[in-house]
Amino acid sequence: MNTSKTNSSKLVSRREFLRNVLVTAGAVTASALAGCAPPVTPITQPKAETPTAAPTPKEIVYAFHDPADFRKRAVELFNEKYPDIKVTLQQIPEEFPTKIFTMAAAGTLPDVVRVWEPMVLEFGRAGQVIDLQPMVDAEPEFRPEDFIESLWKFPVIAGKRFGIADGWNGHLCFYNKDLFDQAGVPYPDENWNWDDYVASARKISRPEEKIWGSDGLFIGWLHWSYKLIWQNGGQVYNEDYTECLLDRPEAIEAIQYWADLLHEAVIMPSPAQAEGLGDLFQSGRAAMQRVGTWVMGPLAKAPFKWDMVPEPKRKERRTLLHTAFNVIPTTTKDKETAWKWLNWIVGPVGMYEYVKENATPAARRSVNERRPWVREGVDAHWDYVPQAGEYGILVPAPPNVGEVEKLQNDAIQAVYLGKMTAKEALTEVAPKVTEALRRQA
Amino acid sequence: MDRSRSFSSARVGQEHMRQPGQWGVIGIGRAFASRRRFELLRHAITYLLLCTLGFAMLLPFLWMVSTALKPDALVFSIPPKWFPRPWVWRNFIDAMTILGHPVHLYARNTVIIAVLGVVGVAISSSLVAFGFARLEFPGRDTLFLLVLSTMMLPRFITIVPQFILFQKMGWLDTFKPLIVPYWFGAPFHIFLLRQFFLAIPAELDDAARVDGASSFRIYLRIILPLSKPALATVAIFAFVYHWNDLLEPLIFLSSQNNWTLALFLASFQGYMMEPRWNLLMAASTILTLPVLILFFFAQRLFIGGITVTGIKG
Amino acid sequence: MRRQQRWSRRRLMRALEGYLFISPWIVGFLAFTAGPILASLVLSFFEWSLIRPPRFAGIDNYVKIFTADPLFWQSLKVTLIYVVVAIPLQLAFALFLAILLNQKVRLIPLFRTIFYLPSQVSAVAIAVIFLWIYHPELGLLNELLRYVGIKGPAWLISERWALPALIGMSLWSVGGAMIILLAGLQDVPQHLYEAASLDGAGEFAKFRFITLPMLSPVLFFNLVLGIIGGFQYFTQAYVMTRGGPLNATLFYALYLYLNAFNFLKMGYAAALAWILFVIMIVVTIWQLRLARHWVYYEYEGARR
Repeated sequence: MNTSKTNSSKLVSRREFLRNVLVTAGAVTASALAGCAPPVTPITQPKAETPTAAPTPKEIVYAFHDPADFRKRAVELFNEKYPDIKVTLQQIPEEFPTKIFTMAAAGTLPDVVRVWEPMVLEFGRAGQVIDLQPMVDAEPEFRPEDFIESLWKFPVIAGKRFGIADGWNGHLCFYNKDLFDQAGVPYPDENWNWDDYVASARKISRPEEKIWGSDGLFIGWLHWSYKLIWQNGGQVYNEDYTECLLDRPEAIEAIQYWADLLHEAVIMPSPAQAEGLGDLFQSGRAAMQRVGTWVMGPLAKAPFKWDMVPEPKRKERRTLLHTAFNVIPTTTKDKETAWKWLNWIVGPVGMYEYVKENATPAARRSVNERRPWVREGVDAHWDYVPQAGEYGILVPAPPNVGEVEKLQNDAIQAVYLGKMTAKEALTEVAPKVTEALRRQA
Repeated sequence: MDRSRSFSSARVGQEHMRQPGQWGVIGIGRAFASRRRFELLRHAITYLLLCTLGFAMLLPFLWMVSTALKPDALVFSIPPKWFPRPWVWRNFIDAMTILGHPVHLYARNTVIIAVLGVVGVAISSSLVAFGFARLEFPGRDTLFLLVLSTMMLPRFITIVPQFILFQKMGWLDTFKPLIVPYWFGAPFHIFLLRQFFLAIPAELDDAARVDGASSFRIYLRIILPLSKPALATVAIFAFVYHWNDLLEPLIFLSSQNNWTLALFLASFQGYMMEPRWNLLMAASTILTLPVLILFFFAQRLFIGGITVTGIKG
Repeated sequence: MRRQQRWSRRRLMRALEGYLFISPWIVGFLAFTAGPILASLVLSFFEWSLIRPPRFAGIDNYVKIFTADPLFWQSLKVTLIYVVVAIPLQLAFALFLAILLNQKVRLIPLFRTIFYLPSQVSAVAIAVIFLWIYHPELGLLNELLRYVGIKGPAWLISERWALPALIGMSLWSVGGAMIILLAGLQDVPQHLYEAASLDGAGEFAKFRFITLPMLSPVLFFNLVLGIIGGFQYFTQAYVMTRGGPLNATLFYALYLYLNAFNFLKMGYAAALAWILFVIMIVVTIWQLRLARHWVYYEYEGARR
């Protein structure tokens, strides 16, 4: 896979470019500023530039999206081992990509950043984050084989490792035992398939009473449809992201199968029925919901009995995984200290602190032995949770991901809204996606 | 152009007073009693409209409060329950404490930013608006168009260069980028004040100038006192803007101790794993209240206060 | 001769005073605004993904936008419809509310607060409530339509009705415009009404020949800003529909945002922004021209 660094001589370096833009385009600005600007002391960079001899206190800024209090205990434990390193937590509560990409553009990314799946490869391909593999190799106690394979292999391009995962969520089928009992339908088991799912749902559904066997399709959520394609033995892209495979029979058949059920509106509400109603499953109106394990939190307080089971398969057992990766931007001043922190949060102790607070499974199998996702007092098949990591697939991260996903989303929405058949929509969109993939590569 | 002016100006001002009886046909002299009945009917219709429209306008707020009072289990109920039982008043306390954030610090930061921003923007914008409204100089209209044009690029486009600019100035993670630019006038407020200043009769300036007053004196002693409602309007708009704005604090601030209340609110939405809608709504309600209280009590300052009535003629 | 000279010196002084008065804005503009604005113009001639070095692209971005981007035309269409339909509606509604709230009845401060309220309620709460109001089967709106025997559409998930639904919803956010109009209404000298009443003028005549002209400066303000804001309408579409269904509510600013931070095509987004800028500036100049025909300024009026 060739990255676009080949003809760098033609390119102006980013900093140079921005300076040129700011200085030439805004020459007036610069001169006006000269008068009133205070001495420049950038906040994000450590001020100490003294010779390395003196043991200056080291500082690390760690940026992420989820609440900061999840991390406070981890910092305390870290400081027991490294008392001379100060870790500043920087939560970016909203518009995470906007802020991260803005900081990247200015070359002021924090020392360690926890980014979402597509971003790790975007940053990696653009040379924004360092290759962690040499550092991993230099840690004798690291044990990569402890990691769930798909999570470990994902952030790697041509032998370069751009990030390391911590917690994750996988999609399972959650079901409302009360609704199953009322309809006299046996609970699903892990070997079931799509037809079993539909048969159970049909027995439970009473659409005229607004009770459905299945939750509706998440029609605006493209990745949700990916797992249907995977379960039917299909693929979204080829191995090296140079071709879109949505026009293959497996993909077309999968989307059409569920679109037909959606339009029939018997086992699941049509978009018109579901839109704006909030969560049908949480409110006890849908017997089954196939969604990420983060719903276990709200479900723990649900006024009905529930359990979980792996998603039904068609040809293969597949599901969707979500995670985030910890990366070290190339602009960090102190790679060693950044690595110490990163190594700690993806290590057995740091990772456990995070997933326990978050009640999610961990990327390390050894951490999962402590079952951090189990909600006290709820009787459920909790062991299905970590298993999803073994057969699940992470949200793919092709080059130009935003644009190619927009194309696919529009196409699949057209099918779900009944404007086109899956065959029409997907055969039309696949070549366009392929073209967009190759444009960037 | 002269012909077109007659659209409006000629029919206002003193002119109609010189033509008594012009409108006599429309307003046929009514009996006193029927006039009272008319007033009564008018009141009734006014109240009817106020109440029905007011109820419609209130719906989102009622929903917010009702969700804020819901127990966790009822947040997802379908159809939505407007009157949850029991009412969980604790949600309001939880909303402020559960994330373990120093909310008092955020409140302080927000007030500092808002107050400094409001004072700065009101002073500077009124000066600039005075220049545009009541002084003549070459290029004035072009410059005014330039003022307006700075509002025409979406913020998402200029925010990255702005970020780099403030980084070079060493202003990141300080309140300066959120306050100082507003001390040089904001286009919205300049435009608003200009419109109000243009509505003040010219005779006042002319009289003062004959007495030898400088432009600054006219601005300070005549225009500003007459524009208190407009200035109060600017103040409340600026305050609300700083109170609610998320993008600028999000991009320019980073340390949690520097956060504003809007960032705190956003951090509830960031609670991806377990969205606590009831707590989010409780926090929203709490943060809306200061603005509402301010509005309720300050409204007589900017609506229905002093006007130019009486000075004229 | 000497008198003429003195006169022109006074005019020169007055002009200098003018520049002095607007100098805060000029300084602020040069220090904080001009640079980023010009930078965005320069960027529009580059290909820039934010995380890679920018590459000079000449007018490629503009060529692509006009020749090979159907979503550009779609988003422009959606936005133009919004500006043409929603802004006048909002203005009329705000004016109606302002007049209503200008009545001398009891509890009026409370009603004013209530009508201002929606512009303060969190966007999420507004989104949730309108998702429910517009719900095709259980929603309040279609329930009402059923009473009068109309089968309502699927609103937010209908390609045809999603945009009208957002336009209708935007009427809840006229609080700001309403306040400004109310302040303007309060500025109309009462003696004009009294004089007109003495002349026997009816309510409509008073409104048409006193209220409207006296209110025209603030109406004009709201119109111009409404149009500028309408072209950049973003939040509700972002929260409620994400541009869907099938791009029926893909507003220009939303598409621009997607390009900048989702597709990572900042240069392209900058080019989109500058096309929008040109459209807005043309419309604004046109508005400023038109204003001469209908906006009445006490100050200028007396001058001429």
